[in-house]
Amino acid sequence: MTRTFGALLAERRAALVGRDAELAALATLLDDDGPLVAVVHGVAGSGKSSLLRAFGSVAAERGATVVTVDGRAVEPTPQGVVAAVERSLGAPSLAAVDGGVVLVVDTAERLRLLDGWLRQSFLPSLPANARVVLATRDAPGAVWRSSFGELLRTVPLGPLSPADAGEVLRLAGLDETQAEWVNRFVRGHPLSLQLAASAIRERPDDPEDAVLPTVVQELAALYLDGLDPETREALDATCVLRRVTLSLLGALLPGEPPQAPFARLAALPFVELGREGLVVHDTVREAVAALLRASDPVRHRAYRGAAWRQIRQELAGTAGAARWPSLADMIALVDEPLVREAFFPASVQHYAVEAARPGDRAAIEAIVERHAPPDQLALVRAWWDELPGAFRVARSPRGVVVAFTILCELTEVPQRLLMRDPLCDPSRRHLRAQPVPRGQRILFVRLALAHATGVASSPCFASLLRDIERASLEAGPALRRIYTHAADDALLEQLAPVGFSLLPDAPDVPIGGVTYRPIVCDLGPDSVAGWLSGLAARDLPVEATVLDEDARELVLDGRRVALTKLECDVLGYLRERELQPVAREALLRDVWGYEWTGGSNVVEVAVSGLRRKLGDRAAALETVRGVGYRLQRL
Amino acid sequence: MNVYVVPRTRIWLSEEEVAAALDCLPPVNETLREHVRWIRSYVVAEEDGTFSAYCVYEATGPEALRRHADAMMLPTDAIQPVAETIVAAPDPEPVRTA
Repeated sequence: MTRTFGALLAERRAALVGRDAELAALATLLDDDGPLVAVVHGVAGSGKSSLLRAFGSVAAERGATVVTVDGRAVEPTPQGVVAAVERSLGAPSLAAVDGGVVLVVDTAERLRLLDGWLRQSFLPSLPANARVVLATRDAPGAVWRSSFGELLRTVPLGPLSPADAGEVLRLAGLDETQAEWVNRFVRGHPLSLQLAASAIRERPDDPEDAVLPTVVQELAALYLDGLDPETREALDATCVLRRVTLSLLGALLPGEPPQAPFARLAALPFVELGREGLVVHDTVREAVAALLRASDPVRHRAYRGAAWRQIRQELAGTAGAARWPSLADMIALVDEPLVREAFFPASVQHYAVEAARPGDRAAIEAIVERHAPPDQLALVRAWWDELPGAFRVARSPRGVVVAFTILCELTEVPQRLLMRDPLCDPSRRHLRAQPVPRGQRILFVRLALAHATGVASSPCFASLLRDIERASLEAGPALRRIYTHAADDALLEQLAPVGFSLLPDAPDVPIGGVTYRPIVCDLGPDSVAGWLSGLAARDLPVEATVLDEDARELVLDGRRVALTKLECDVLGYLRERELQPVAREALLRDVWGYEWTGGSNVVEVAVSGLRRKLGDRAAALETVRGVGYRLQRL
Repeated sequence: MNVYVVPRTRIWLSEEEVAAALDCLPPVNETLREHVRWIRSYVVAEEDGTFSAYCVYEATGPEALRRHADAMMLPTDAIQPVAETIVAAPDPEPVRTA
């Protein structure tokens, strides 16, 4: 007889051992008078995804439509989340669904940049028939609890009880004695139970009296020791990746068709096939990466370099929303903590950053008074009066404003402010001298201050800097520059590693006895993707771009590109003036010579040929309207 | 510098607030390091679910401790100079090291 859907639902639920209370807590969402939002939280490997799957079965059985989204596969922007929900639903809006609908977001910590938007805009905008479950590593902050009150259900996932852990191990094929022995050191951690069970099944004759630490990394190592060399090599290679695809595997392990290592990895108990490829469980991936970095740093760097080249190539071949997976792959290669922590948070972040409310004015002014002269306070008041939407605040768990920033697009700044605020002047002057192509966007960070430490490095100030990264991502692929200023070295020291530098030739701006130095981050022609690629390439074995004028060749990403003599001369001339606009007349005069009287389109022809040969880097050779050309860093 | 005890009753409403304060302490201590040295704190869970703290500092004076408290946004019940320190035994294994 054919198995029924009901039987399948029952099986899925039964596969979840020892989480009856948690499942029942989630099921209250489906009651008419139940909570509207639930947050499941627990450490890596605690079984959040399994619980969500079981809850999905329960919800479906009770007639609800279940929409599942994995935070790892979503661009952390409002449009990214909305698009992911629509994709999973197969319809333009949850409102289009008849009956109840449950939105399940797994790995929600990856959307932490959107914390404020999720809480204040997205969830309140959902239709009344929607319920939401978020699974995340950390417990929801106090701002979540105060926003939703009784309508928020928090479901912590602790270790399994000894009896339930024994049941999991018996289901995994271990006998009573083995199960008891394993749980003595695993102590109910679900992923560890699975790993230990696999390790024992693979090597049943190993001595049981070895000293076994309880940490999951050691368990992973125990399991890894039993892998065959090919599978281990594939795992080593892919530990530098956020997700594993055939194309990335092909680049990292060029010696064999990628299908073979893909299949080997897919068979491992801690690897899942997701929407975007294979995902190695974070805990295991981090353990493998740490092991490889320590034992074979050269190979670790070589894998990272190969991944960087492949991801860069894939970035060049995609546009729009389809670009996010590759962009996230690139972010995963960035070592810079400020960037990593924004997108792949490792620590608990206590401060929620969101748009300022009218009642926040006094707290913001108090922060300015603590750290800045009265003239600065007068200017901040003028900004609040003219452009309150530019203010964003970081709140403590109790909701108190502990830091704020003024952040907007430069084009949004009203003329009156531009005339009054001397800190707007350097960026406008720089923009006039170094114009950006039409359509590119400019962010302006007028001020960022934390109550406790001003601009010195601190957790709440770091939350403001991460919010600037959020704004950069939201500004989209046309974002070109971010202007701000530093009153002392403390801010520049924090921002320099992510690409900020002093604005060349810009005079300092004194306000009330404090001197502000204008600084800028130019993301380059490829915007956020180019900027992240540059950050990821630091310390990687990625070939530098070299113009070999003797051989008339450009070495680009490891490939040699043949150039004509004119192309080589034009490129050499522009590289000597990198980042500066070069007049077409100057090129004609200095490359073609004074006496040149040929056709007027010779420069365009040479530039067009160069762009063709630059391939995916063609955007680096920009046309500056009314002037000529400018070469960005290749 | 002198040693002070600063009691703070029911200043945190949740463990998360305690954790956030601990997170923020190192940079504040750094900015005031010439005036205040935080020695230790005993955090007490009250029956009503709130948390109190009894903090021990070395400081140049009460004013420096008020600046520290202001930066941390932590109210103080009092700033009491220590007349004499009597150590009968070293502290037991700390729950958390700052």
